[in-house]
Amino acid sequence: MLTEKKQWEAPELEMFDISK
Amino acid sequence: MTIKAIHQDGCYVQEEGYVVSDMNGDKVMMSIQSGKYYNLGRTGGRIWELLSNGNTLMGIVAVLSTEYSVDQEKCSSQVEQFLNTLLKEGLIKHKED
Repeated sequence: MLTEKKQWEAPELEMFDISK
Repeated sequence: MTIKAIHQDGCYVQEEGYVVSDMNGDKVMMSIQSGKYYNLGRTGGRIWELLSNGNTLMGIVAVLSTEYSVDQEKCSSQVEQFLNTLLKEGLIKHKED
């Protein structure tokens, strides 16, 4: 059975400095 | 100073020591040691999963191109850029044979 392909989103890395 | 960049045929694996969780489909992770919090998003989260036992750029692109509607060249270029960011941040490492 063929499954529909998902829409592509460019991979991105979000970063936060959690350092109280 | 050495600039880290992934090798096309190199095998890379997740670095250990991060707390990883799923948040509404996004993969998020935190390093208690460095005090940094990362959001890899959906596609990034899938790439992260594919790196659990070690994988190459080609291997990752092969899987993603069967799951997503994207051409291989575009996929390869964007995944390579993403892997370089992960490597620079110390989230993945080169897997020694």
